Amino acid sequence: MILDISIGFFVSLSFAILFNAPKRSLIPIIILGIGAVLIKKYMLLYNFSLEFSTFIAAFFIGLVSIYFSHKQNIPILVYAISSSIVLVPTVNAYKAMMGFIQISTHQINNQELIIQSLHYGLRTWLVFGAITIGIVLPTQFLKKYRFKIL
Amino acid sequence: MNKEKQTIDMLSQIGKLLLQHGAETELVETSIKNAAMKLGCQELSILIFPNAILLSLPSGDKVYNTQLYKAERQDVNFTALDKVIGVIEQIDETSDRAKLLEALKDEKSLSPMYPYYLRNLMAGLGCGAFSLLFGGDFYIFAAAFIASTLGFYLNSFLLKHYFNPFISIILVSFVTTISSGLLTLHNEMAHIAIASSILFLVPSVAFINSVNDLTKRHYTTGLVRGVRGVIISFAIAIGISLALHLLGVEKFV
Repeated sequence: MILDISIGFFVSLSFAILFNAPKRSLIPIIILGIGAVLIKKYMLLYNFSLEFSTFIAAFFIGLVSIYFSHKQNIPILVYAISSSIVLVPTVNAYKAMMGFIQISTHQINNQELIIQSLHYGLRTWLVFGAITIGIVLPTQFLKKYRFKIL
Repeated sequence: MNKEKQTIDMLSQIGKLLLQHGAETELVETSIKNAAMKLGCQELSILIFPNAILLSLPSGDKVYNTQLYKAERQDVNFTALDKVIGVIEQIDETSDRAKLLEALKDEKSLSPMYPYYLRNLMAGLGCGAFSLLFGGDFYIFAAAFIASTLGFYLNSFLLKHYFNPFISIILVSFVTTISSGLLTLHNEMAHIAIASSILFLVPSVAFINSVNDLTKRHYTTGLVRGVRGVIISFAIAIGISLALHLLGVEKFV
């Protein structure tokens, strides 16, 4: 638990600083990042699929960042992008890429490998889609607020 | 300088700054419209390209003032978005336009960056912490930290010397993978170190902006941003696979 909170803290803080987020938005970004890590972890523990738990975590980020953006008058994008980095499925993407490299170089008849790397590749794209749709969806529901924010 | 020229210069400078620093198309459009309303121009037409803005403002009965502004670079700087929106809030019909235009043209003070060493350190820390998320131990954390700090240093060095961004991404991901691979050569969790140390290159802004634009019916900009994100991802993949072929693919599955 403490490890997860500190991971969320450091990842979201460091990517906020890499993207030059304004100083007053750093604390909301950290809160969003920690929340997303915890939601994803506990949903995975209760046997939800990776895609669905990522979607719910991204939805949480999108929804709460509307509140912060309304309060501090900063675009939603600033909160959503910096804090959603914790959800990126890098290991799946890496495994898919490794599989494709192996298929293209020498193991042409290995069907198991082909199916496995296709599985990882599709999974990566689905999780990426879950992140983006999850962030964008709340802003579409609450159009009235979005225009007020500017 | 007459008033109309100042107005249109101001509006296009606002749009250009927002477009350069990673705002989505809808945000650029609503900000320009908001500023135009505050300046008292009702009939303004805006066309936003992925790297340029076309503004057209009627003056008199049959004359239109049109201005095309090009965004010179594309980087991510959220403080600049915040500051430009702050400038828009100060605008009203009585405010001094020459002064506001001067403030908007001063791009250096509008887009401040965090100190360089802090960003470099944070790139390392973020990627290292990310490796813990996938079950790495402290040694993997240290390897990812060293590799991504090195990679980030190289990245900003290459961008400072005006390298082609895609080639510099290939080089950076190559160097990052080589260093994290060499540090974790006989480790079972080497793939976690390699996958998380290149995280600072992932084009998250491009992808999220692309979906944002596509769902809000800005198809051209959305498609272009999406293609840019895909090209960056392929550049990262090329760098990694070059490095892994050098080190030996079988060791890192």
